[in-house]
Amino acid sequence: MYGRKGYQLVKDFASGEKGQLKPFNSKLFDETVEECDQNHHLIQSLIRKMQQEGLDVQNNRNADHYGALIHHLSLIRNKRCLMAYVYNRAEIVRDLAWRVGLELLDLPSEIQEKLTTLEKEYFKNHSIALKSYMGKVGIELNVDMVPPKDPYIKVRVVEDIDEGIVLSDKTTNFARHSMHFLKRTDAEPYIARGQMEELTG
Amino acid sequence: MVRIEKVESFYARLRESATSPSSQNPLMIFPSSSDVDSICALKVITHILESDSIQYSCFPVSSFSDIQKSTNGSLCSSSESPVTILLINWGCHRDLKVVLKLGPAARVFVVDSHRPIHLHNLSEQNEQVIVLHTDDDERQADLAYDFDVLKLANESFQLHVEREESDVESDEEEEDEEEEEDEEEEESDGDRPSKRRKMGDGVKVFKKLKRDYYRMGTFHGKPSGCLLFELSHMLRKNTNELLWLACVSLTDQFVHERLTDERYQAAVMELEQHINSSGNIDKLTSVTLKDGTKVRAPDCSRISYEEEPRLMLLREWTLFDSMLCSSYIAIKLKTWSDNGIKKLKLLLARMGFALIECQQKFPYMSHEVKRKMKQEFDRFLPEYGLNDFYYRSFLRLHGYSSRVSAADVVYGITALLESFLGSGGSSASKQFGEAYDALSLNNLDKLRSGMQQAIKVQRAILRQGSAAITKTGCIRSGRKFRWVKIEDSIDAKYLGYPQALTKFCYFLMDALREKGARMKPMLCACVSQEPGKILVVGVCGKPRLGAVRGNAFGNAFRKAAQESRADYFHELFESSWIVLDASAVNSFMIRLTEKL
Repeated sequence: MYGRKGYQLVKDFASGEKGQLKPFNSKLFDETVEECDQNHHLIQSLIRKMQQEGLDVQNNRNADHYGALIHHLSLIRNKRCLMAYVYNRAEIVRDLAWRVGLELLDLPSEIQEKLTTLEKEYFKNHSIALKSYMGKVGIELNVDMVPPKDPYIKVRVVEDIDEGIVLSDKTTNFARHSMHFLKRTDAEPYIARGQMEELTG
Repeated sequence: MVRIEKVESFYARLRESATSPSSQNPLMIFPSSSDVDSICALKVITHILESDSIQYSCFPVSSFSDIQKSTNGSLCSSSESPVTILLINWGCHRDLKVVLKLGPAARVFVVDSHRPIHLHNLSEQNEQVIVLHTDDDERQADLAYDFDVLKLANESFQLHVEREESDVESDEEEEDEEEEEDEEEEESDGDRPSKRRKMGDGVKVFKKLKRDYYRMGTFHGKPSGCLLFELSHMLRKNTNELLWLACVSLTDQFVHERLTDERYQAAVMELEQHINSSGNIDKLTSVTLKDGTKVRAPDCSRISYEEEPRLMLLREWTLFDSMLCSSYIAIKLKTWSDNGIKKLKLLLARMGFALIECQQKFPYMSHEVKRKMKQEFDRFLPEYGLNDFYYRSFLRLHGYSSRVSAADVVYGITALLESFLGSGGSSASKQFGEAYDALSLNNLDKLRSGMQQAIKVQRAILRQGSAAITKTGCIRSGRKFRWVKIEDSIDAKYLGYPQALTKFCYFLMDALREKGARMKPMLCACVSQEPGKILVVGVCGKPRLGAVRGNAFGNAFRKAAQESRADYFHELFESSWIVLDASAVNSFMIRLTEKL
């Protein structure tokens, strides 16, 4: 049925958790594009047929006209679905840059796997733009919008962290399952990457 | 001054040491992952540290060797940068300076309820180890010393230092240092220089006292959670949450038979006063809405104290099953036999409770039965010799529906702590995290899953316990103790943990006493979670007021294991727990008979 592929694509995006990426569904995406091509092809052949019959394509309301209209609507709809899919993913990708970090390689590997090459490119460009803007205004814009009540935070390490432990004034060992009470700013990058969880209550 | 007698001054020193500006590391806390008390104590002390904005890192440990992994050798390093560590509920029965190979800049603070404390840790000259051992605690201890422990500790440490200086090269002695309890052996050793013998009577008295000190066996002091709650109270940082943790700590010792009834009663009274004074009594119980209707207000996080029946996990179980499996009733009625079940049904019938009602899940059991329970139990149970079925305990009320008793929390959390699999220490620390979460009110689901696990453990205890008692020859009896080995591989999965096995030991001891057997200490062996290893736990009977000695297995275990030349692991935090090679168990038992 015409239009179903696009619908499935949007459905596929919507079924994921809010704000979370799913792997790029290139199979469905390509099939939708394929369907658009098909629609485009059929519209053209119908119009050509009307022209050959010497009918006025603009004003004539025969079966071929309505056939072409159906294909047109399906085409438009699929296009919207494709755009929505790409746009919403792009929104999440931008969000990642704001929330998680501006370096692509800093993103958790399971997120990186879900991005296509183009999306990675987009991420990089967005990060560069952000960085240059932040450099100009001299404000770090990607920190938490809500100011913390307490400069310290209690966390638990949930994944092995072995490389590059940077704390502002102390050094410690972030062994898995250990708990720490440390400066919020030190913990934030690890929490953003899902390597630590905040302990409450 | 290294033995700190007041909690406030202990904390003041801890804070001073942890916030010293030259320190590169945050305060490192190492809670024991083998009991509930240590989680409670951890929660209390971290609450206090957080309110003082002191950074810390916390690494749960389950044996002495775990600690070196987390510190990356910073304890032993000779660098100038000070390191401060805090041990919760472990460590004070070994000479920490030697065992942890402390470097000159390391400082160890210890809050531990295990007794006796190694004399070197108590000594005033040992500046690096600071043990919290309050005066109150010493006076109220289940076992009392009739001599000045501090003086003894100083002398002992002095002698140790002198000896270290005089023969730096001899390595054999260093091994002995932890084993100073074994003075007899040294004395009988003919090759010793006669120097010491010349010292005369003073030394002899000193040695005798020291032997007495260690020979008393192991026992427990005030729960660490309660000690630290006192600290929070004095610093005016106590909350209802912390008070509840103190209640759970105390109940942990009660449930695992680590204190006498008298001391339990005294501690309960003390906590009840705290409960009264922190506004738990006159909380609003009903609210009037705008239109005049009165509704019951949720019992929003209130602690109350009540008489609780000795039925474990009643609120998560059915009355019938809880009576069937709880050690207290099961042993008297012998509920594992057909006759016992008949007796149990008869008891219920006489109390006027329909069997169908009693087999409903407790929350759905008829209100009538719940209301009449206490009265009927009090009326009929004395006939069976169950006189102290109800005991004073604590309840936590939260929201409309949640009512948990402190004992059930202890069962649940202990089961969570003791459900790690395999040999990796990491999974024990993962379970510590689970248990830590389950202890807060927002994670009732985790607590419930722990309680379900505890139910499985208790059923396993009943299965294996009744099997051991009914089958002759299963429990082997020695001159000084009895021992039993759990062969069943499925139940070993539930019982192959120290606390579960301890409960099993107590179950057997009580059941044997019921049969009229003479009281003897009990040993249990069970396949541990590590393949090819056997966990052995020794129990000497419930602590009694005025007893002369605690659990005497600790010293004997180590010696027997050393002599049988087996590969053994005696690094767990209770000296009456040991892990052996499966093949070495029999020879270990033979040696042990000689030791006791």
